[in-house]
Amino acid sequence: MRALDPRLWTPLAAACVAAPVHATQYLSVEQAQRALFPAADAFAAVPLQGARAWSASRAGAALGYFLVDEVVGKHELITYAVGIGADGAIRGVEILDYREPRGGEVRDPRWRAQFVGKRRGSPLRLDEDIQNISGATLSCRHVTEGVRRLLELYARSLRDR
Amino acid sequence: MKNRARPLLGTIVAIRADATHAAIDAAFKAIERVHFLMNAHSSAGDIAAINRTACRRPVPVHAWTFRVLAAALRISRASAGAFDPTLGRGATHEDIVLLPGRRVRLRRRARLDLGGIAKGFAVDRAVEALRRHGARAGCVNAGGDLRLFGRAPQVVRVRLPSEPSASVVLATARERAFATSAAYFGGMHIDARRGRRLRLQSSITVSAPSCMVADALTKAVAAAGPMPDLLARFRAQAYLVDGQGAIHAPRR
Repeated sequence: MRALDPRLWTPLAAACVAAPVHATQYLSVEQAQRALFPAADAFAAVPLQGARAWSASRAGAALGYFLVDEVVGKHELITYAVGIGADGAIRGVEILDYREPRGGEVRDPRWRAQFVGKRRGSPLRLDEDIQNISGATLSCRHVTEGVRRLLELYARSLRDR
Repeated sequence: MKNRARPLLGTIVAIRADATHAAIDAAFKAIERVHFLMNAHSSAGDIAAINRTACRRPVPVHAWTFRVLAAALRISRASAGAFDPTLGRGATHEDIVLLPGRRVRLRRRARLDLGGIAKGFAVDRAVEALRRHGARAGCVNAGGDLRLFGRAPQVVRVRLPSEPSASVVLATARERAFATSAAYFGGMHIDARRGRRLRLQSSITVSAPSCMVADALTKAVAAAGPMPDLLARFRAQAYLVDGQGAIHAPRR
């Protein structure tokens, strides 16, 4: 292929040591709660099968739910949070952390097993409003699917509490 | 420094900045706006409207869309079509006509896709929003297309195409954008001139003053090789990172 034709390129300094890409923490659970529900003055943990959940309230009035979940991509593990308002609409999605396992972890069947059976209902697809502009990366697709799953979980277990 | 990330533009967009959460919210909002306007799949956006009707009558578009189209045409012409925002048989960038009053017409039925440039523009708008809200330094990274801002130089790394969990230091820079085209996320490029798909063995990174230009030029270089005149004209630099992590620059 022409773009990679070696006659077109000349090596720069060869001292380029590869280093592993580290895990990145963006927000803690508490920080994400504040980012998605800035008006809330209380978050109460809610027992829920399939995700960690908190109800958000202000002066005793319900503002919605805050859910935390994890997805496995091809090269990464992503913890993310979704805020769902009292009207059932998503208030926002925040990535909490993103880490890239080196081999083993993702292939470990016990690790994978925690995700088995979490996805139900109709086949998941990328939402039109989150569709890719540029080449798709798996990571976003997995988060998009995860958000859809949390919405189903919310509709089934939390909405009518 | 605050560090936040959201799933946007089909990737994970990360923002690191010395800014308030409100400033970062505004930056994410700007990115959502670009996505809404320029994603060919959002039926209410400008690109979908152009693809539907601009071959019959001029279509008025948002100022941002017009700006990106003008830049896309400039880079298409300068790269002799190695970058081209049109898809489909026979159509090229020459079929896009920009008219006064921010209107767009197509000389023939064509499908526009700003996927190769709008992500970079979204990064630029996010940096602008952060600055408007008082941020003085940071980085906006949309799945590999990133822009640094602030006075202090920052290190930019590039993932190894052969081992995406490892990276090499590419450059230390300030006030500059970097965009990488690589195969490790399953990326494929379409050579606009031949309509052929290319699978990259190495990754190609272009740096430029704006992320929009870096984004578009990395597509041109991936399709047609490093064109020194083109890169110089846009104050850009190209790098190739091979499977062993060695960095190459265009031969002069």
